[in-house]
Order: sequence, then structure tokens, then C-alpha cells
Amino acid sequence: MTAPGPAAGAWSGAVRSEWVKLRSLRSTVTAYAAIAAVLAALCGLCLTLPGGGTEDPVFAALLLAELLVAGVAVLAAAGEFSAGTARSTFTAVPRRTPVLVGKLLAHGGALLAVLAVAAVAGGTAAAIGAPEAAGSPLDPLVLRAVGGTALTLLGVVVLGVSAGLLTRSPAGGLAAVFALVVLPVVVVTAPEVTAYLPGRAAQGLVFTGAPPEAHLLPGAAAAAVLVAWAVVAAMAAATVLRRRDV
Amino acid sequence: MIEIQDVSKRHGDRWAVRELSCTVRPGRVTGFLGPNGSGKSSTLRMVVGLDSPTSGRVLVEGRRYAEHPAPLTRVGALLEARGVHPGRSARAHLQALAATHRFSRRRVEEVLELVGLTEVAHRRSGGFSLGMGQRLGIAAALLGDPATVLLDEPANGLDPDGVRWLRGLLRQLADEGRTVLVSSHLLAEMAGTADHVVVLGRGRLLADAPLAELLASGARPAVRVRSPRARELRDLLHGPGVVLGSPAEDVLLVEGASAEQVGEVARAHGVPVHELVTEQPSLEEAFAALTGDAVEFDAGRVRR
Repeated sequence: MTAPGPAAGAWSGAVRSEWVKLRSLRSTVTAYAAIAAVLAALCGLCLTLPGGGTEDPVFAALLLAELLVAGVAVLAAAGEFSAGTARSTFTAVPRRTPVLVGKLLAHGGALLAVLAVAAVAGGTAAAIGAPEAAGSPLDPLVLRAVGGTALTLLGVVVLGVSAGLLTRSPAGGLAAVFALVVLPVVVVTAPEVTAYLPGRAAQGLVFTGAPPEAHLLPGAAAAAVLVAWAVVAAMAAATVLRRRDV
Repeated sequence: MIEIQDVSKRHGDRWAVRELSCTVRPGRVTGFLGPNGSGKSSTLRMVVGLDSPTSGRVLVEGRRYAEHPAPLTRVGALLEARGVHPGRSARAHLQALAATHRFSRRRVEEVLELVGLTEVAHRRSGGFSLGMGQRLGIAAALLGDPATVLLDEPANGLDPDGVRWLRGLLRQLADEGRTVLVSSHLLAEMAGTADHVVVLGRGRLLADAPLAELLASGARPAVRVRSPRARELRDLLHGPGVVLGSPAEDVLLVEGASAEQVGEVARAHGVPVHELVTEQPSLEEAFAALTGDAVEFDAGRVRR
């Protein structure tokens, strides 16, 4: 047997490893294709509907994208435990935290790439399909909608991966993300309070034309709330991951 | 080298491992034996840092596993059950592991070749037989060309050819100076492979000895004698300290007398002997003698 080459840092290795895992599962690749289609529709709608829209189609497309991203992220993490790969993964990376970071970077990167392609595709389709209605892609409202969508979905990646690592169960992880992201949007109760849940903060970030009685947080506050949720979730996941037996 | 130092592990209110100390040395195949639930798998998981001991510590190659900068080059492990996503190909599984340590693609192909999975490496591993899954697990364990190799029940699901291949591989790894620790419930398999055995029962160390010594310490060797006048010989051999059994009409099993003594008695009385063999106690017998209490204890708990 020949000796393998010298091992480099665990961090970059863990990111590469998670990228290989992402690419090598048919279900994950299919899910990202579906996310691309939904995001292309979302971007096209943002361009053709006035005001970046609180309009239902945009609302629905964002929710669907969030759900799909949550599913991929939760499965990428909880699937390690349900499929039994956690043993080989954490034997290869016994410090464990690099696995969490690797998953976040691999899936966050894939998501941004998909969003970039979808934005160009959606924008082109809108310009060709409805030239008179289509706004400029450089309209600040449109840029904010796309940027807000990017930040929202990255937040969902972090929440999903963290929830998957914390619950170690695909169903449990999905339920947790659903409760934080989808439920508060679908069933709005105590709007002043639920505005601080990730799902509604995301709406505040993406939609600019919402009426004041919707009690959505303004853009900067919404972004800060989303980031805070993501940071807390990731830190909780890292702490538990390091301490708990695999 | 694996150094297990006064390790205990509690799961809830049950001790999986209690005050276990032993050293697994390089250059030989060490068999890790014990009834189900005796703490073998818990111990192996602590060696690679998946579980942390409640007290005590485990060192591999001089350090705690997680403290090695490139752990896969020090220790390779095949742990119970399959650690492969069913939707991922064997090659992709190994490539994902290799990426953590920047091992080359060529190394992945080498271990695939070594375990004989090259032909099916592109297929989703969900369709693999148990034996193919074991081979993939062994490939993963050898990926980093590690100094210490841990294999939990590696013979599970292997066909006879595979078992022979595995024996050769274990021997080769030990001869290369590596530390090889193999758990198994197939005692016969161990008898043909291990140089040294560590036996656990109820989480405690029952034996840590060369295989030959364990065999010698178990049930006393028996003499098997076949004669057309077995019944007559039986009366002649009867005496203090001699236990006689008769598994067949013309066969006697004699404990407490040597083959020489039996032969002399038969010659002195002119009893013809067609077969006279000293039977070494089997590993099963030695194992049962050691773990008898432990097994009974577990069975008692289950019944309650």
C-alpha cells in the first residue's frame, strides 16, 4: 500500500467533503434543480409585478423556496444520523465543528449559485415575455427583493442544518424549521410578536410594499433578526455536536 | 497501539463498560470477544472518539483520537452497521471521506481495488449485499493507510471466499506491523485468525491473553478413543478424577487421563483401539467457561 499524501487543515477538508456529498446524491441535485425553477419564477414575478409586491404569487414562491431549501438542509444534516453515515463522517472529522461549517458553506454556496442563475433566467424571461410590464433589473426595489431572498434562504440553510444536527431526525428537524419559518407566515397571530420569528422577518426583508397593519419589521431590523436567529441556531448546534456522543 | 486506561462508560443507568484497562499491541491480530451487550462496540466507539468515556481515557498511537491532526492516517475503523448513504455510490462515499484528509483520487481507486469493488464502485450502495457493504467499510477503514485498524464484526455477510480473503488481509496488516483489533462473535473465525484475545463480559475485562493460553486455561483437554470393545474399556478406565462420556456406541470421551494412560490401559488388557486422539478444547468451550456467568446474568435481566 502506498502512503496517502499529507493531510491539510480539517476545515477546508470538511468543506470539500461536504461538497462531494452534496453533488453525489441524486435527491439533493434534483432538489436544487427544483429550487432553481422556483427562484426563477420568483425573480420573474418580482420584475413584472409592481413594487416588488406583497402579491400572492411572490409570497407563495418565496414560501415554496423556503420549504425546499429547509428540506435539503435538514436532510443534509439529520440524514447523517438516519442513514448511519454520521459514524464515518465524525470519525474522519473528530473535532466535529468543521462538519457543521462545511455543510453551511457547501449548501450556502450551492444556493447562491442557483439563485444567481435563477435571477438571470427569470429576469431574461420577464424581459422577453412581458417587455411592457417588466421593470428594470437594476431597480432598487428589485435588487432588494433578490438580496432579501438570498439572505432569507441562507438563513433557512443555517436553521435547517442546525435543526437537523440538533434533532438528528429528518422529521423532527423539518418540524422545527416549519414552526419557525412557515407557520408564523401562514397563521398570523400576535403580529407584533411573531414579526421577530424568522419566517416573518424574511417577509419584512423581501417585501417593501406591505401595509403598516401587517407589522413587518423594516429591512435593516429584519436582516438583523434573521442573522441573530442563524447565529444562535448554529452555535447551539456546534455546542451540542461537540458534547454529545454520536 | 491502543491504550485503554481505566475506562468506564454509562448509558443512562446501565454501565456499558466498567473499569476496563488493556493495551492492544502492534504486529499481531487481537480478537475482541464477548457476548452481545458486553461492551465491545461501546469500547470501539470510544477508541475513535464517537463516544466519550464517563471516566478514564483511551489513547491511540499515543494520543486521544481527536487530537491527531490527520486521524484517518493513524486509525481506520469499520464500526457496526453500515455507514454509507444508500443513495451514494461506493466511490463517492470514499471520495467524501478522502476529501477530509486531501487523500488523492488514486488512493480511493487503490482501496476499491484492494477490496474488490472496482467493478461496482459507480453503483448506488443501497443495492449492495451485506458482504459488499462490509468490503466497502473495510475499504474506508484502510483509506488512510492507518497504523491501527479496528474492525467490528468484519466477517458479517462475507461468503467463504470473502472470509478467507479477510483472514489473509488481517494477517498481512499485522505482519506489516500494524495494530489490528477485530471483534467477532464467530469464535471459530477468531481461532483461525487471532494471535491474542481480549474477552469482555458485562463490560468488564475477563481475559487478555495469547489465544493459546486462553485455550489451555479453558476446559481440560479430552481424549477421544474409539474401540469395538468400548464398554469394556470404560470399566477399565473408571477411577478417581476420570470423567467418562460416550457420544457413540464405540466411542469414549475421557477427561482426567492422558492419551498415553488410556493407551497403556488398553494394551495391558488387550483391548483393540482404532482411534486415540487428544482433543484440544475449542475456543467456544474456553469462551463459555469464561463468560458463563456474564451470559447468565444478562439472560436473567432480560427475563425479569
